[in-house]
Amino acid sequence: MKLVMIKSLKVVSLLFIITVTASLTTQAQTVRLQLSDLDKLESRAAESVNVTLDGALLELAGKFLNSKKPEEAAIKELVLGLKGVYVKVFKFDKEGEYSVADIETVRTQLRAPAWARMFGVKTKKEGENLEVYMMMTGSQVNGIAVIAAEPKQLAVINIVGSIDLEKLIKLSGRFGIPSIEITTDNKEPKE
Amino acid sequence: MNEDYLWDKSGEPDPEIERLEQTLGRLRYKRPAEPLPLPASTRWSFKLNSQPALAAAAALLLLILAGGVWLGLTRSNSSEGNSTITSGPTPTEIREQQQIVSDVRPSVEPDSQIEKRASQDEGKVVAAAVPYVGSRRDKLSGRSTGARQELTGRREPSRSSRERREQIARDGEKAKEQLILALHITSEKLNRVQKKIQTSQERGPV
Repeated sequence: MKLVMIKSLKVVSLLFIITVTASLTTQAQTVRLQLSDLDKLESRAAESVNVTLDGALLELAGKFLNSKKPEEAAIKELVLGLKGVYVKVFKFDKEGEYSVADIETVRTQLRAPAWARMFGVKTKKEGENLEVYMMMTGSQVNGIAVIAAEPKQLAVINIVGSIDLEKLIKLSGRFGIPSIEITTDNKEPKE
Repeated sequence: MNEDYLWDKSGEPDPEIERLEQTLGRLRYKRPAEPLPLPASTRWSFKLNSQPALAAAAALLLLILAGGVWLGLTRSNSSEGNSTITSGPTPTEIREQQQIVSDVRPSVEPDSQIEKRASQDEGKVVAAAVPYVGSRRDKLSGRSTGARQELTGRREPSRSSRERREQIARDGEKAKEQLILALHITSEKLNRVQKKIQTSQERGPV
């Protein structure tokens, strides 16, 4: 009887270790979204931006940021806790070049319990749908996902790692350069 | 009954004894004796001895797995932490650069990507994804050149190290530009969400 108990304890502890390891690995994988299904939109897009920065590449980019420049210093501060930056933006000549089904693979991943939909803005008039998802552990942000779906533009952003949202929002307009061509053609609503 | 016959088979045999010898002689045991079966308590103790061996084997396997994962993590961290541009050429640096090359991924396929050129007059950002693939090829060719130089006894180490440093500098600048572009896009989208929320809050409930 004693031997049976010892044997079963060993099996249970082994299973526990395997389960914990598997759950940690799974959590690490779910923060990073699989965006490869969106690559098919590149052939239909007039312009596209595809950025994949992780691991050594992200660290290399951080090393080349100049601390003496205030804009780059701000980015350097942001990048400290980051593990990966993945951005895909597609700009189309006409509406209807992509469908909701194209984004569904991304949304399915964001329905996982670890992700929480923080903001969602849908404008019928402009036909745009902006969604912001976050993965948090307590008060710490572990990942951000943004889906910006507009009639002629689709942007999917995934940032892995801890990041200060407030500082990230403040980055806009700090670069001292004109806005890039990727920005939307829609006019901003008057405030 | 002749008892001597029973003792050492001397004397006249008894007919009854002879009859019994003939009858039972057919059933004489011919095989060698089987080993003595162990009692039940000994078998039980043999099972008890095998349990610690299995547990030790399982623990050892787990340790090996954990050690392998730890080594893998420390190797990737050490290669990232030690990669520099200004250090001189050493076999360690060559290995570190090879590690960076293996970690580098091309961001897009060159056929489907539209390159945005930076104009000095306009001051726009370069979204350089296409040259990145080329840089990877350059890195690979640089690596093979470095390997050949190692085999031939390092004929031109300064030139290959300078080329490597230049390549790293180019890749670093491109990575930086991509990072700035990515964060700019993200910031712009988040800013728009924030503005729309503020606008809807100002309008109030309908």
